[in-house]
Amino acid sequence: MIRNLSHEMYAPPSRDERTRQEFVASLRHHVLDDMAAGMRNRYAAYVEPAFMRAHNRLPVDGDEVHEAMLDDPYFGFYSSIRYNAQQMVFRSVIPIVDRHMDALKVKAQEIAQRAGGPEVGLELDSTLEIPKNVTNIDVHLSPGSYHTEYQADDVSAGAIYDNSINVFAFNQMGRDIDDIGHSFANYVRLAYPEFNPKAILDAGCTIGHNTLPWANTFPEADVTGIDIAPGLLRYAAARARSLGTRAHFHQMNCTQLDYPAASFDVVFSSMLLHELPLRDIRAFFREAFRVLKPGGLLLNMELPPNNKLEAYDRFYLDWDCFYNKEPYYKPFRDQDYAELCTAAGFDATRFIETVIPRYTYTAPEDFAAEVARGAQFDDRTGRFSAEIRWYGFGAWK
Amino acid sequence: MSRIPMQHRGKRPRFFSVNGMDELMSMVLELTAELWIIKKRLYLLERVAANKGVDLTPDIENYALSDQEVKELDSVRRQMIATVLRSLENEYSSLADIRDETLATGDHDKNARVRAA
Repeated sequence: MIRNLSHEMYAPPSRDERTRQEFVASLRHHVLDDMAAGMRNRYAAYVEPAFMRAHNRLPVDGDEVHEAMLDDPYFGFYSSIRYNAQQMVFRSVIPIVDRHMDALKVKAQEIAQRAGGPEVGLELDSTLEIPKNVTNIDVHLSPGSYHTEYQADDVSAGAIYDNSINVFAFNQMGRDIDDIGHSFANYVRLAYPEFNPKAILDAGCTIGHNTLPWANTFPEADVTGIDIAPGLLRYAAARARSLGTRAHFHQMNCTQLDYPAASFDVVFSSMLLHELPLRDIRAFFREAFRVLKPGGLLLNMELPPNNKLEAYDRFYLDWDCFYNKEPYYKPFRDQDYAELCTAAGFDATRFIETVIPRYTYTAPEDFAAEVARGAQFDDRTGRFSAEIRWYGFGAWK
Repeated sequence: MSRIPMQHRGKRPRFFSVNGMDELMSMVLELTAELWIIKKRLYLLERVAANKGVDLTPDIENYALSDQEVKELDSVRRQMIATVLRSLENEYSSLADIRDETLATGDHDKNARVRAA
């Protein structure tokens, strides 16, 4: 159920460490599948009827559902086990990364200096201030958040991220946890066949797992990933070179892009926005508008907005905001995503959104059919399960 | 010597009104992980031995541990207990972390069951 990542920066576990990871992955699966279904049943059988009796109407939003669920014991167990499973993901990975910390640093440097292989650029900026929303919170319970370095030229943050997602995803996010990148690059290829992007930016790229699929799908394009944390980017560059994919990684804050106007055909982001304060999302979108060429595309893979979901599903996806150290989740998801785009300069008529299956798990004809069908929202949208559908939105310039 | 922390900064969320129940849940889950690791290893051990045509049971029953082996086991056992009870270590480690987190995010989430420090 958990496979070795296929690149050289992978930190291999011992037998027992791998066994612990399998336990955690199974526990996550149990919570997100069995217990999620159980909690939904509890809601339908007990909580919603009780609300109806008390208020003579159904809950109107996620907050009302959340309030009602707080008194249900099952919610406590679902939440407690889910919270613990998240902690245990990191605990099943950190000792391994810690042990390999020096070797990984040396490996990254060796890969960078290697003769032959694709050109992978890495530009760090030690003057860049890491934003407080990263430094002051251990985002999604990750000890040290994204930015902590434990030595000079450290790659630990990248290794923790890569290996922890590998456990977190229990084989559901692609061979090298890159299904999202493949899904959206191929969505663009299929939905807009005339569009031939030459310059692509992945904002908040972390380790480049969803950056490289754009280079795979559009091999003529120059693909750049930016992020605020140096350890992530050193790891990303080594990983890309090891996987044989040409890309460039640059330490940069997406709210202040160091590019001239009209530099890119695509500005992409994946699971970035829900980690930004709203003012930073708006600043990023204004910058995206500026650096896009006319006819270019801003496309963001994210969780679906609350205004497209039923009350219970809003509550279900809001959970991380309250219990998983993701304080910006709900402020983002409560927005009108089209308005976020138009406020940044995009035309309202050029707004797009889509709901697509996982590209690397779906037969090509089925994937193409769902792309053609357009965005349909149900309880699979954004909910992590074997049936998950990815949501994306954005706008053409 | 480990350099990377194993626990997130700041408060943990609390899901039960009974004191200590949140920690108890953590301990039960860590315990179950430890149990699984052993179960799997014993499973592998039996199969490896059987493949070599060896029945290990009599020797296991009669094995005399050396002083060195006793020391090793003591250390592993203590580590296991620390692992299972880790959730009790860290909650009150630093008010500075709690304060930093609050400053970053504004106010406490009104719906979260967060106990006052």
